[in-house]
Amino acid sequence: MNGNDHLIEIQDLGREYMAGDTTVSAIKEMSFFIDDGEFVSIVGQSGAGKSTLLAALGGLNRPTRGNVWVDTMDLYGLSSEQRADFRSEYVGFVFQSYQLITYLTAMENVKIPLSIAGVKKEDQADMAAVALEKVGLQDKKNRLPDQLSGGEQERVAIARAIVNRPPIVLADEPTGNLDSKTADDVINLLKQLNQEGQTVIMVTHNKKLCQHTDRTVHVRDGLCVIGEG
Amino acid sequence: MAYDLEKYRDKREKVLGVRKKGISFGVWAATVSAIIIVGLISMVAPKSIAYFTTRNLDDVIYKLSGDQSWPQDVIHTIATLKGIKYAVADKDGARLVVTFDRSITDIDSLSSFFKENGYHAVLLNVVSHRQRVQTEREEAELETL
Repeated sequence: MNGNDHLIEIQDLGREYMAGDTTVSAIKEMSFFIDDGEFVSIVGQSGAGKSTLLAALGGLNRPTRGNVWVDTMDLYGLSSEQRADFRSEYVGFVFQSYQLITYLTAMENVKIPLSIAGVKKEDQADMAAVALEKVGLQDKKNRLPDQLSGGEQERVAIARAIVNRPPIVLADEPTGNLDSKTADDVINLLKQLNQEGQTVIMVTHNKKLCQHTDRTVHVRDGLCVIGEG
Repeated sequence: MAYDLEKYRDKREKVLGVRKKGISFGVWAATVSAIIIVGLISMVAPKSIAYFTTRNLDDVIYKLSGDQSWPQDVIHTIATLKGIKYAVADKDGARLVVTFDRSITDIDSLSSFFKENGYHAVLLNVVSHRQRVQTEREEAELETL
C-alpha cells in the first residue's frame, strides 16, 4: 500500500494510551483499505479498539505509529489546520449519543458544519433543507432536539453529517440507542447514502448489522482478525 | 478498479492549500499591522535619526575683528579639522558659522587654531545646532510672509 490505490488506506496502525503507569494498546497493529463507495462495518466487542480506529480514520486521534492515507493524503502528515479542513471537507461524523446542541433547532444544528466550512449564509438554509429532506425530517426542522424522538435525533445527526456532502460518513454505533425498528430505518438511511455514492464506515458491536454492509472488518484486542483488505 | 484520483481533486486541493480559500483573518491582521507599523516608522524614524545625528552638534559663530570677510581657504581648512562638521560663511561673508561635535572637539581648540594662524576671531555666540537650524527655518518663513 502506498496511499494511491484506495480512498482509505491504513498501514501498520498502532495506538497506545497511558492509563496511570500502565500502557494500554487500543490498537496493536492494523492494516487494511476501504475503497471509494464501500459500506464497511467495523465490528468488535467493547474495548476492542473500534472507536479509536474510527477516530484515527477521521483525523481526530493521532496514532502512535503507522499511517492513515485518505485520498492519497497522509492524514497525520498534515498540519493540524489542514487536518481540520480535511474533517470539514471529507468526513461526516455520526455519534451514538447524537451530540446535538440542545438549544438549537434541527435546522440550526444541521447548518453548523456549513458555517464551519465557510458556506455563504444564503446557501446554508437551502443545503440544510435538502439534508433534512433526505432524512425525512423537513417538517420538523424547527423543533428542538428534546422535541424529537431518539430516531429523529439520530436522523438530524445524519443530516448534519451529510449536509456538506462529505465523501466519507463515519458512524459510531449509530443504532446503539435505538429500538430495532428505528435502528432499521437508520441503517436503511445509511444504505441509501451509500447507494448515492458516499463511503460509509459504521462501527458497531451488533454483528447482525453487518449483513447490510458490503464488507466487515472484525476487530479484537486491537487487531483486525477477519475481513481486512 | 483503480482509484480515481480526479474525483475529489477540488477537496484535496482545498485541504492541502493548493487552492486559495480567500484571505484569512491572520493575513488580514498581519497586513493591517504591517501598514500601521510602517506608517509609524516613517513618521518617527526621520525625527529619531535626525535627533541622534545632531544631538552632539553645537554651532559657534565668529566674526573677524575689523569686520573683514572670512577668507575661503580658512573656511575650507576649518572644515577639515577633527570634529568639525560644517564651516560656512554668512551671506555677506562677515560671520563664520562652525558646526562641531562637542564630544570630539571644543571651542578652545578653534580659538587655538585662530590664534596659531594669526586671525583675530571674535566669538559672537554658541548655540545648539538644532536650535540654530530651527531659528533659521522660522526666519526664512517670516521673510516669505
